[in-house]
Amino acid sequence: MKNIPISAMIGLFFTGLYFLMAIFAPLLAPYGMAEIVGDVWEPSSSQFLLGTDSIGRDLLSRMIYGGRTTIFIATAATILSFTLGSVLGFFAAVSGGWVDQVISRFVDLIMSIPSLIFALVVLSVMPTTVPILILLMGLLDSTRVYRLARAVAVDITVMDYVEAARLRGEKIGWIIFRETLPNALSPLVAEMGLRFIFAVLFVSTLSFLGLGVQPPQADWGGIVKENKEGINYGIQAALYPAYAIATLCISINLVADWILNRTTSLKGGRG
Amino acid sequence: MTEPLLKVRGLKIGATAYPPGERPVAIKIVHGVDFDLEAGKVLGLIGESGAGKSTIGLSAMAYGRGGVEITGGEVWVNGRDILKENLRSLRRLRGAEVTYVSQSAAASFNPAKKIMDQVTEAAIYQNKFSKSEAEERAVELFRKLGLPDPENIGNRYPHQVSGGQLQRCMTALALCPEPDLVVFDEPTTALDVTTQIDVLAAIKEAIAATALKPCISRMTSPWSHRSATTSWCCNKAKW
Repeated sequence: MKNIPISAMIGLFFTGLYFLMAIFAPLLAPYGMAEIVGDVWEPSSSQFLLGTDSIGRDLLSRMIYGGRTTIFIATAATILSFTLGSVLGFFAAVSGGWVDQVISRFVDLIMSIPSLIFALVVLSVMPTTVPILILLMGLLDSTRVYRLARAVAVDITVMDYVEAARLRGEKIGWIIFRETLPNALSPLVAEMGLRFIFAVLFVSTLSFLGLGVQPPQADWGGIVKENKEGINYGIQAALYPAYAIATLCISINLVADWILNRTTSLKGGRG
Repeated sequence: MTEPLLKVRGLKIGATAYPPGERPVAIKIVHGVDFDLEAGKVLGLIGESGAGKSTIGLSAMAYGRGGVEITGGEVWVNGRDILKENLRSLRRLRGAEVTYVSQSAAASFNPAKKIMDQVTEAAIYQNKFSKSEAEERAVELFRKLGLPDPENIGNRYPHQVSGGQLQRCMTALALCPEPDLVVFDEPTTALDVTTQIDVLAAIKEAIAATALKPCISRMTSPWSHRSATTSWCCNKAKW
């Protein structure tokens, strides 16, 4: 604990705080998520710590439940994109030849379409449910992870120890998980933090545009959308979720930076 | 006269070159090389850069690196023409009868695995020794090669030892499975002069020490291309 730099401590503290709040949301929230408990846009008081929202629901409760939705979707999408993207990327790099060409060109094809437009088109056709959101974001993000994983892995697969493993007759699974993955881990971990943040921003954007999480379910982007008119009257309600998104993004980045530093020093500066 | 350990006859090696804007052309790298190597002797291979020294060395394992192909000739190891063998029996040859010390130790060790695991891997994989026997052997080799703290150096990762030490670890890796033939591909290239002498002395000592063991009748044979290095450690040099 002593060796953790102060920036990482701050990052760990806020990340931990948000994740704990997401996990224990029903215990922490003073009111129900969709419960109308007061007047429209009441100011903060001892009864409603952050005031109430555009139809009189407790904002603090909605922030806590909203954080749960946002963080859950972003985490699930990040895990999906990393599993899929890195396995495909390593597979392409280890196989090489036409396998690599086919996968890479297909990924290029998907990447050539701006991901927000792609998502909007898909979501206007498909029902907007949480599993579909996770799947869509995971698949779209996996193309970026694929690029990184493949780029890192082509450098590793030409090393002598991979060549030796091949000559020894190891199968592709061994080469991917035993030879390539341990040596590609540190750039992937750094990318994971970044991808998680992009996922948070992406799901918030979709909800703000009305195509993400559907009401009465709360999520941070959706809370901004519901309360954006209040800004004209000097009501802060729309800004709290924005603060939350910003602090979560920064703190996760601080943690990812620290992990990256630690793992690169473990590998003698190779990153 | 007894059969030599390694007998190369009319070895031809080719590759495909891709000149920009032209059709790929087949080029010849080695135009028919003959030599013999007796057990217990050291043969040096000398030539300018790109002459095909490493390529000939790797052919002793019936292996052509990245697009290089052995197009003709015979390579006899322990009385068998290994160019005629299939992949499965070659796997038994590589790492058991013939081992290889590559040019750059830093690129050859897997940075994510401990040195001990990598040094003993071939010996265990080829069923030459059990895990504990192989580890004992590795510690003994580390000691002979003059590595500091031989009992524990195997628990380090490759980046936690110096370049010269890693080079010596690789020599231990090649000697661990008790091979009949070791191909040393410039084992001192990346090192400064004083470390070179250390490494060569350590290799020479290790060869001598291993030869004294009665269970090994045949011996190891380094290849190197620097003439200075070569004259210092080889019984026989081939230009």
